[in-house]
Amino acid sequence: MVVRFQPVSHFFNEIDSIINSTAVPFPFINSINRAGRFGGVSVKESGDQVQVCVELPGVAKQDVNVSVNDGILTISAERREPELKGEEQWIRNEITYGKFERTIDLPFSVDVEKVSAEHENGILQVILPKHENAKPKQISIR
Amino acid sequence: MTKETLEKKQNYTIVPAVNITETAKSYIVSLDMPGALKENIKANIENNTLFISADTVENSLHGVSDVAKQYRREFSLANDIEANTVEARYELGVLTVTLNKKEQFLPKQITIK
Repeated sequence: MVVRFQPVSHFFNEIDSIINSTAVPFPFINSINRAGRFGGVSVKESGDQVQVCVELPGVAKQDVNVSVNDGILTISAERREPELKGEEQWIRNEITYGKFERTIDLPFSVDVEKVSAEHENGILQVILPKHENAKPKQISIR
Repeated sequence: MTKETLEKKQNYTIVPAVNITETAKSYIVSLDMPGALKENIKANIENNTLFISADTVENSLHGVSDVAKQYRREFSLANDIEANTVEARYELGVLTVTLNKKEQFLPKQITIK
């Protein structure tokens, strides 16, 4: 599987190293690093299926949308900012809120009817069974 | 990421992002810890410091679990916190710890006679 070059994360690392090298630390900008951004994706493939996991902490089940269309898996979600109650006030806010969407090109055909998804402990897990045609086949030698 | 670094993914530590809010009576600390299991989360207060840690397990395709990463973060507490009444709740991958303020630090309404 091809992993694409991600100039954006390099850019953030660059900024982080500049900020970290200054004499006065500025904690809020520091958190621009990975922490606080949600939607990290991991993809695992085995002979007959692919498992896609997305980190979606604090996202309610009804705010997650998963669809497979024409060989493309689309996952979208929204993390809503909690409302402060009464006299409650912010001291620190490192967590990012908002909309998330990610599309993943599936390099094989998928049995759309059997795709399953579950959302537990802030992780969305999608299991995509491969279509019969896409599964590896053992060819017996006569 | 090369295949080699993917394999090395096991056992690395993440500092979870945190939100802290304050009310008149308490501080509310929320940490993003997706993938942790409630029974694996440890939260304790020692020497005026709140320690939070958790191991996460990632379900592999064959049902075998392996430790994917560890969350760790600590907070030094001000002296207005009542360490005996700390509450913690884990929901949707977010750990929320409520730290109540000590009685003598609560706002008081003074009645005028």
